[in-house]
Amino acid sequence: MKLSRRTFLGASAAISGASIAGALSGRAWGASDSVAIASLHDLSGPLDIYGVPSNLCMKVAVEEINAAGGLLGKKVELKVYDGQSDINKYPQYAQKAVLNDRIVMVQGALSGAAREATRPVLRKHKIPFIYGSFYEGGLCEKNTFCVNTGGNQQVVPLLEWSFKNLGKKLYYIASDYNAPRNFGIWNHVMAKREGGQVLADDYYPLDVTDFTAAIAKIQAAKPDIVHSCLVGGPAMSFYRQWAAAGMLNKIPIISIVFAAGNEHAVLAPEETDGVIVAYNYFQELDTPKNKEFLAKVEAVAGKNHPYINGEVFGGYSGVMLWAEAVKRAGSFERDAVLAALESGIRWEGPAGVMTTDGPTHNTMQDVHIIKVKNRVWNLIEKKEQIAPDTYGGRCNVFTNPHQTEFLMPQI
Amino acid sequence: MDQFVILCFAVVNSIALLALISLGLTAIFGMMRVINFAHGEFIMLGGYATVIANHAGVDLWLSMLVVSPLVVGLIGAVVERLIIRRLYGHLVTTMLATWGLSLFLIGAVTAIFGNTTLGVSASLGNIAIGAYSISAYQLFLIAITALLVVFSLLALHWTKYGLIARAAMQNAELAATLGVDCDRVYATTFIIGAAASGLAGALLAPISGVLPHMGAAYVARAFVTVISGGGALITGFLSAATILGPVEALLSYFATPVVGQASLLLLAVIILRLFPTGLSSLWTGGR
Amino acid sequence: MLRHIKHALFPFALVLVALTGPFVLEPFDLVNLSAFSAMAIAALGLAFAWGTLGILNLGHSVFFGIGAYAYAIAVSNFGDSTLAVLIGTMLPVVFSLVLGSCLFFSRLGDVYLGVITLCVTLIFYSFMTSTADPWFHIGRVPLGGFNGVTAIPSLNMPANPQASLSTEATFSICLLALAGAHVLLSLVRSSDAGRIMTAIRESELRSELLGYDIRFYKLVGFALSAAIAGFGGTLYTAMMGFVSPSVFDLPQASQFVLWVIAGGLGTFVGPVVASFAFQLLSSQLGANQVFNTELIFGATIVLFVLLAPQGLQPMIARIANLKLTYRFGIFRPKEKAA
Repeated sequence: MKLSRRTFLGASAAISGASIAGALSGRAWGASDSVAIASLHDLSGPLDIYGVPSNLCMKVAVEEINAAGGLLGKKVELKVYDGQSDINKYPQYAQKAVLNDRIVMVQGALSGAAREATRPVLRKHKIPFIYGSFYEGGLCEKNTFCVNTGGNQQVVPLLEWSFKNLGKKLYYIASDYNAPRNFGIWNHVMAKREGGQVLADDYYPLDVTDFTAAIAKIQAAKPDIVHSCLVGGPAMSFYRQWAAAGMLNKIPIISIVFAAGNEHAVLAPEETDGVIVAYNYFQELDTPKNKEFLAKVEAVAGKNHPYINGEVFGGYSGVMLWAEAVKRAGSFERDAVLAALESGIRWEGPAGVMTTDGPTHNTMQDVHIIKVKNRVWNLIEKKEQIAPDTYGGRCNVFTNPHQTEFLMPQI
Repeated sequence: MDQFVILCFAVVNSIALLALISLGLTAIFGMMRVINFAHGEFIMLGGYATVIANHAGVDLWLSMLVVSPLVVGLIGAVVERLIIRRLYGHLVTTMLATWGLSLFLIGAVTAIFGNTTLGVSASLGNIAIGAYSISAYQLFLIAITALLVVFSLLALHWTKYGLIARAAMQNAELAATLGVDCDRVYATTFIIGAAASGLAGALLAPISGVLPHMGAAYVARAFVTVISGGGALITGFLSAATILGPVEALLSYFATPVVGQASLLLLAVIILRLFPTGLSSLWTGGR
Repeated sequence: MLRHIKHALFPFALVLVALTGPFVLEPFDLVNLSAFSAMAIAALGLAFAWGTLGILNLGHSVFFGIGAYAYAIAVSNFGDSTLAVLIGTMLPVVFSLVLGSCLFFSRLGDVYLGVITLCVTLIFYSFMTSTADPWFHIGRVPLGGFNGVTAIPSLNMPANPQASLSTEATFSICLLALAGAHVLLSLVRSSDAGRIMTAIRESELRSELLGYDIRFYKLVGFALSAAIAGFGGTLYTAMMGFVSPSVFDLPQASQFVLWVIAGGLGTFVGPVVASFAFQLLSSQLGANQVFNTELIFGATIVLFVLLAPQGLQPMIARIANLKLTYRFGIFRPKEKAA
């Protein structure tokens, strides 16, 4: 076996030598008639259910822009990085994108932890960060623009509707990390506003698979509404066990994260029928622009493309809004582009009209309240042009230009 | 009163779950001291086998109870032949190899099936207990786990294979001199362990998400249970499950789930501190 | 004499790279290599504890993580990184003494010790991920739950908190630190205490019968590995600018174990090289999207194990011995006395 080990060593030394050489000399000798943007998503690992479709949407947007002649006469190139569901990769790849690959815009870092790890790097290197995932709200930073719904834009319309139509007693069950906890605060804000009551806030670690105790607790509390902010694979266990315990028809479930991981497609209809969510975008939205958009998605990824939900749609809208800003600014420079976004860009996309909001660096958009039946989403009510929250005036990049921390809603 | 019944059910349920996911591992680790980091992936493959067979038209119960163990057992046989066979006795290298194997299996499943697949649901209805209701499928799960445990106990102590396996486990050299083909025994045990893990994954498929990374949630607990259990194969991990399960279930219910999880780990540490070779040293006299 | 030269070769090479790197490599590569070397330092800690002392510490990441968090909290509160690095190195030592005194005072076998240490790091992980509430804070710094602690200042000149070290300076420091850790551990290993530790690894019973207090030596070795790991953790956090509970989780713990095994249990150079190689591989795979990353990574590891079960360093050493012995005849092993 000595010979094969030696050969193996030689081969692996050659490969690692080549890859080291490649890594160390990886300069992007790009042609000057193209400009590059970065897609920083998890394309492998447990979080790839969010990363893969989001990356796909970015690709669709880039192809659309290039088909229309590019941006400012240049072709847009999409550089893709796989975060591998490893937070440590994000600042690394962000730096690679900026230092090595001459990126002018970075979009991605969907999970809160990845986003928090990436923001300081992009801030330091002065590259704009477009955040395409829906989130808990409160990110009002000069270098970042959020194009998807923030906390209030989802929770407020949904809870308004729920307290009016389903009852006043709410039980909140969520995954235990930052975003659900912040969404939980919005529950209390809305309960106070609408005269509802939050019976309990129950947080579960991300790897719990047995929800027997959880379901028993909910049954003991007897709520009118169950607000579920559980995510990930193990969260599917909750929906399965909830339905198996016969609870699906007894107490309605509302959510702002359900379907972000395509739970409605994976679970059986008898496990999900009747769940109500609120998103800016959903694939069944019946508008001509959406049909065009979906045709383009099919052209890129085929008929079996992943379901495009409100979470990953930001991949498309983010790039398109950024492109509009570049056109208005006439330049790819960060300050010019951000100024253009702050001047209020109105863009009509597959999900309706989106208007960027200068002071908050978030985006005003329509919110659709939808219910699932037989794996298909149906519109219940459309709330038009929900503005991002100003957090009592604190969320303002003009008056607080050096703000980088998250703002929390006040109860 | 209702709450008491529900709590009992939750306790028994958590014991059964721990036992189910540890069964396959106890065969492989307990018998052969092979640390199989790919244990979670065998469970995952069992889940996938059920889902795919069911969607291809095979009856659900058949897919769960027959197809999955067969498929995963087959995969186990291949793995054993290609990888594990060369590494018996090398604890450290098997850790590395099975770790690589687990990554490879996850990657392969993702590449072939993508990262979301349709699930299966086993609608057995539910049972109402006062203000609560519990799923009948979970009762079925508890029953089957109990059956499996009894079956393995009987197989180990009353069949010829069981005798040979225990002999090989206690003293391989001596068993070999008596004409036992230890390689064969190890191979068979590995296959049985893999099949048991596959069965666990299949049974869990209707009540949990079947995703490429689902194994990660089970691996740590299975290891902790098996090792806290100690040398005795079946009674070992069963006793560990009986102590660890209720603590986690009750603390999750009365406090928060994080406390429940942390207590399970803490309790395992305490058990191993008090009984350095596992719980079963109490009745086997240490091994 | 020759053996000393052979041992000094590796740290010398590191010092060379530390001094010449900033002139040859690009800033991005400097940043990357600094981060890789911080991880490699932590891996050295495990290589020592496991390879020399024989403690299968599957939860080595707990020391790495404590050092990381300690640095993050200290530097964000005090503003000066020197004290923070000190705290980040010492706090894991304290914890290791507590943990060690629980563990080593009972006769725990290999695997059982491994599982207990693994449980410890997972307990830390469980706890840290549930600290999202702003109530969990130390001084000015919220623990942040899953998001962790962000916007952490990097290393600065020891006396001057305002003067943060440049990328080049940090790179040199990281590599020099790696060389230093290697030298330190090699010296310890070849010292009297180190020989006793090796004896303990070989057979605890015999060492005890010879009169050595194995619990004391294990504790000292354990504490040393914790200090090295904590130091690696502080450097890593200073490089990355953030720390999250993922420093405690199962993948991170497995990484350290993986590198030590792949590098060759019992060696120091091997784990360092393996850690660089694997980190580089993982980084390259993610930036060049061809196949599923895990598929390639897993296949590589399995192939590696089948072809080089002893690890990198023994394989390289064997090849080196082979070539030199036959070609130059000077490094021929001495004849054994009858």
